[in-house]
Amino acid sequence: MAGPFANWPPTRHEFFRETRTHRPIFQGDVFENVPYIKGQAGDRPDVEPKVRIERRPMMALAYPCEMYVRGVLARLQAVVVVREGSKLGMREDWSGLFSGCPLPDLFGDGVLWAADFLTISSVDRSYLTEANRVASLTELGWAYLRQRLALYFTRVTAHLGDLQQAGRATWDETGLWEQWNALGRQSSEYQSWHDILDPQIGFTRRQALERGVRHLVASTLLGRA
Amino acid sequence: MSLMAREPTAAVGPVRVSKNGNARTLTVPTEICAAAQIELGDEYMVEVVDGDLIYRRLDQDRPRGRFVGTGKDRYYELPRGATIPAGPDPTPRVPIDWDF
Repeated sequence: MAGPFANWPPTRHEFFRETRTHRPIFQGDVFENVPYIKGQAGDRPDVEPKVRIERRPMMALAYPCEMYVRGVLARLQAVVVVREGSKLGMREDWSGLFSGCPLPDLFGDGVLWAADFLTISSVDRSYLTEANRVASLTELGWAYLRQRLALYFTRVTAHLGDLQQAGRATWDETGLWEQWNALGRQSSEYQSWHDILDPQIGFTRRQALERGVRHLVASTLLGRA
Repeated sequence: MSLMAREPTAAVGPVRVSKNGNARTLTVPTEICAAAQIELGDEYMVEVVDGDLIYRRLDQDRPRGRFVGTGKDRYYELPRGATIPAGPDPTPRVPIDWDF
């Protein structure tokens, strides 16, 4: 069943959007060459672990609101390793695998990749940049990732429609942040602008987005209100 | 598909589906109706998944959930019955070790 997707399994085009320099780092973004630290203990907790560091493709995992502190990317970022779906037992029809999220044709090589939730770890924010970002999710792809995360952590399948609705204000906020950056404004000042009461709207811009009036907030950003 | 409530039963039992030509009536115990907030006249799409009946609400008039809080503290509160507990994972678990 395709559900809200036009195809099932969804195509790369449906799942990923174009990566843009001005787009803020966002949940589900995939980055290349991120260090993953393995602390192998060999079932011997009494000795120090054998530590290895490998550079892997990784996905940012936290909800966007948790990734930033007052508009600046937080120092510590939660990530998971991206692996070939076949190595996780991922089926071509995407059924099963409650511990991961399929990523169709992630690298344009026709291979089904997957984010492996079992490998969750933390890295310094400096490893997650626009320069090494290789993929960003569409709004629907983002909802699907959150559906998989909820399934993994809670064993509850939330409806994609509910997840889209719950995330819409954050999605709109990020889209406007991207426009803000593209206009050459200071990225770290966007959140302050967002929380200011706009007399032309009657709410703070954040509250306006939460009420679904993106066009009004966008017009104030572009100076057309 | 229409849903009809029936008299309370001693225990919550399985849902019975009967077919009458093109019309299909799903009879749901009142206990299930109360727990899942099912009202007379609600419309559902029914699917068979691994031998179980999964039914998804079609009517969009009733609010499915509500937002609480604002900004970073804002979250979406799902109503009862809006989510489906997941069943067994049909994909065999592939063991993972540090050599992945």
